[in-house]
Amino acid sequence: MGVHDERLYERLGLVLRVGVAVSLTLLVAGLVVCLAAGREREGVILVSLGILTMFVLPAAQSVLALVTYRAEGNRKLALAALGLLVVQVAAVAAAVL
Amino acid sequence: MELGYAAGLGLSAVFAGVVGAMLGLGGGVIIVPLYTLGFGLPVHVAVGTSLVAVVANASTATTVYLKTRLTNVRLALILGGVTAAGALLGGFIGTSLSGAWLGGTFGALLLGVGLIMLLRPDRTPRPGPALAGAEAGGEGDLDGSYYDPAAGTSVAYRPVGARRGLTFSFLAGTMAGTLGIGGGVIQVPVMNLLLGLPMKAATATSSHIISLTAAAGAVVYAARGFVDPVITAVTIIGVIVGSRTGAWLAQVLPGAVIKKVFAVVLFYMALRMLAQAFGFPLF
Repeated sequence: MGVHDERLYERLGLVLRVGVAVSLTLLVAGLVVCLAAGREREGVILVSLGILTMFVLPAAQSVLALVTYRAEGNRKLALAALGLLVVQVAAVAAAVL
Repeated sequence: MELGYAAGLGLSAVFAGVVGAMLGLGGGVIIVPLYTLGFGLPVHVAVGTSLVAVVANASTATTVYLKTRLTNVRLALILGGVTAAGALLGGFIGTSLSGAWLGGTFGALLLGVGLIMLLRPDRTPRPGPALAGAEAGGEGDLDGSYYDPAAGTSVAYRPVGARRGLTFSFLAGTMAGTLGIGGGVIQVPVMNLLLGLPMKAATATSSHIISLTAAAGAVVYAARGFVDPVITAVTIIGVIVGSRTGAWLAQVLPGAVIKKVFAVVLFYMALRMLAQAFGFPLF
């Protein structure tokens, strides 16, 4: 495992840890607001933001991998990361349109 | 939503997380039948909810696997693109099927998984994978290594035949996106038996692939209104709590007995789902 891989593992871990923590905080806060405080609209907005955060994490991982392997000059893996990112973006576009 | 109903969903999600982690299946296989049979949710909503919970659960597990270097990130990227494409296709297939067909297909999946669990109660890890691929002309830039505390040694391996894995990954993604499961049921044995990854690395890499790809199917369900935010939030929190507990329980309870008991439970849920889908009476 090269230096770039070590950095990638650490960066991916950091992005996932922060992302999951932010998402879970929003989900719990939204549930408390919605179910305990009875303010459904505000609660649903918070919960939806938490789910959205979860949806953004895969694309964030792909961007990190793309940048890392491009810097390393590893075209094969940079292309793999780019391909994955394209499918992730296409999924959102295809689902919404 | 009433507090009692939400609490019931949350407890079911905890149960799904516990059982999923103990059996190595992920929570989706349990959530979908529990929500449709126990709470009367439409099967599309149960599948959509399950898919988002799968993303959350896999992302949480991957943070641990990345730290211990069990994940093979390079292989996950190579297989991730086709898996995501499969998940996207699966999302469209699942949302296009009628409730009866989707429920029936899920029932058939449960029957298959239950059968595998009964016939192969203990999956034996593939032994001695250390750089086996090197001798077989494996792909060097996908090499992986990690420290195995149970064996007290470092394990190095070289995957073989990553191209063959692409087809299975696409199938795993399609099945996962259609039915709201992780897809590890296919990915883990393929990586272990076909690509030659040690079991622990296969499980970790499968989890990473799911964290990268399951959202592709989930967004299709979300865009078509099959993801209820509050139900999903309760489910995500429940599954994450449950899977942590299940991972611990798996180490202290007898695995073979657990698998047989839950295989019977899966058969029962499969029959109930098939009966509900196709309208035949069941005792």
